[in-house]
Amino acid sequence: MIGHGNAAGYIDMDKIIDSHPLHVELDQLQAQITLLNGQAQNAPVPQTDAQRQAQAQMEEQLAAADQLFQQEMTQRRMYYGQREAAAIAALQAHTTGQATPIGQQLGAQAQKIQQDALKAYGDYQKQLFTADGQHLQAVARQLQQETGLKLAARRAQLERQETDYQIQLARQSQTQRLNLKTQLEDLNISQDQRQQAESQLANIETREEALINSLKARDNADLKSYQESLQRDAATRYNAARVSMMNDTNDKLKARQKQMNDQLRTQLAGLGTQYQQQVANANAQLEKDPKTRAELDKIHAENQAQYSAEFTKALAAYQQTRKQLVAKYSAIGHMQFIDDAALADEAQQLSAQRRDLYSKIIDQVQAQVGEVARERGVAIVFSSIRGAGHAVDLTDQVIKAIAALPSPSPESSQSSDTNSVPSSTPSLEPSGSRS
Amino acid sequence: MHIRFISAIAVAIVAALALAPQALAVDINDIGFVDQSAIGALPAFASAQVQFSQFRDQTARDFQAAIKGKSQADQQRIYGDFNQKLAAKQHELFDPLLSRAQTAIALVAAQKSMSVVVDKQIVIYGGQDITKDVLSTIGQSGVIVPPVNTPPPSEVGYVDQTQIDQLPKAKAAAQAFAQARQQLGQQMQTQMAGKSQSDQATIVAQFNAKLKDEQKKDIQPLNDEIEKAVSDVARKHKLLLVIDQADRVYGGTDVTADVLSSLK
Repeated sequence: MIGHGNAAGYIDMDKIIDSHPLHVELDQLQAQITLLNGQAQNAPVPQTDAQRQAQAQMEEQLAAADQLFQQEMTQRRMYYGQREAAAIAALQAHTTGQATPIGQQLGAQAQKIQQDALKAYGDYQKQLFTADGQHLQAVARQLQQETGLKLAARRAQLERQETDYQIQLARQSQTQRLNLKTQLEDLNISQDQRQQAESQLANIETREEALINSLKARDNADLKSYQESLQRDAATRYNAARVSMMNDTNDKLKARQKQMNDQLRTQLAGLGTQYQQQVANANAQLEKDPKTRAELDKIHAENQAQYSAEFTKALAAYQQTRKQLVAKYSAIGHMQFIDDAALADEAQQLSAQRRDLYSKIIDQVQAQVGEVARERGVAIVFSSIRGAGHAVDLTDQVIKAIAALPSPSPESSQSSDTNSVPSSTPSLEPSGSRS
Repeated sequence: MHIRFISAIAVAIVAALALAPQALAVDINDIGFVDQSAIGALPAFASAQVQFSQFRDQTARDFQAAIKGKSQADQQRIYGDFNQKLAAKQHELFDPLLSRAQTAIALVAAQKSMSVVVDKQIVIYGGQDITKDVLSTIGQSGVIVPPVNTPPPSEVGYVDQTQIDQLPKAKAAAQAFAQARQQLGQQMQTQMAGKSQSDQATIVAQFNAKLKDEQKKDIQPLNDEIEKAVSDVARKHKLLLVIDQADRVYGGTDVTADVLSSLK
């Protein structure tokens, strides 16, 4: 839109957004996103071997559930894509009077290529998970061994110190003890003197025992604290190894997936070109016919609706499975595990919601800036500047103009419900079904 | 009655002139904008991006293999070498494309007698969109001949924010804020451990409020000072306004040196 006028203007976008009626919602969404990120960062770290094992098993099963879900969805997508392609091809054959539906053979070839690629990918994923499980077990064993050795060394050191102390105490009381024992060996001492000497001897022993026990208690506490610190350290190292391994595995899987997609694209492109050529002529003819056009749209809409319904259902089941797995292993490990993927999904949905809301606010601001600029004869308005010279500041006028608008209802400001299916539900576009 | 009417018009004209003395003298047709993301989406750029991504992925794998079993110092050195390789590839792939795009923008801007072209993102209303012309010029076969003339003096200024960020006081403010944010973040993480969801939400809200206060304390005074310095320079040079250099695509008046000297 070219503005008319002989002045230039600018606005302070932050100030306008801060004063926008929907700003509170924007802030609330941001707070929820920060909270989810905080929860993910603040996930409790397993401390014991049993907890680490539970976490590893849970992650393995979550990854398996994810793989299953992805595979199911790919298969469903392929199924509906092929079904739609077949229905369209049949319609094309019927309308154009051809005996064999267009691309039937090519479709079967494409299906085979996709299935083979998926299987190879699944095998590779399984192989990586097995290797990861073994690696984690090895790391846990090594850490356990290191912890055990360090603890044994500290225990031996403390025991040596206790023995030294015991000897030191015995040396200190040696003379007194000898005197008392000599007295007791003398048969001529009175009963009272005997009792007194015995009592003194007993006192020395009790005192030494108490001192030794006190040292032992201190040492035990020290040992316990050392053990805990070793366990914490081991947990942190285990966790770091796990995270690094998971990242590596994810990178490898992504690379393999990319490689698979590239290969598929190349292989399918060859088939697609032949297929496209066949359908192009038929489509040109079909598109001219409103009845056939309506039929084609109907086929596509039906397939899309069925696929979306199945996707929604499968997604809900998948999310439920994840919840159950987290609950199950939390109970086994006696600690609350966090499902990072679920938190990330939720944060992503909230971010999308926030983005939508922000865009909506910006659209509204843009419309009002246009109104104000036209009224003031301003030809161009900047939304971000470092400093103003003689340009006109339109910020306050735009704020007033927005405030004068009818207040937005909460329903209208929400683009989608947080718990609803993600807006990124994949659409169903069968390859080469229509030009 | 007639005289009174004329004097009313005169008063109105005087008032209008008083309100916007510079605006009436401005030729607003010389400010254009271009959608740089549309240029980035051209097949040539997309293809270069794919090539670069592939090279980066391969380099990342080579890097992982190269650092295996190496000392920290060696790893650091290898990291530097690989980064240089990446930068060189980036230049090799993108420099010719960027140069062609820049020449196309300059040519279109010169043909339309524009004094400045900015990025589309900072224009919310009006201005001349030259994106289509630029895309079509880039798409033409053969060499794009650059315009003979340099852009005319512009009433839109620009300042290099990265140079301002290097001033000691700017660095100190950024560091103070970064430290405060880190501390607050750590505090928040500690406080959130083992708390219920609603308690955690309260902690997050408190964190955000404290962060805002810190920003007001550490960053805002400097931002105000910079804005004032830029505005003073803009008025001194009789400019409409000053934008960030990152948003300028072609032409404009560079006021960085003046702003820096005013801030020192």
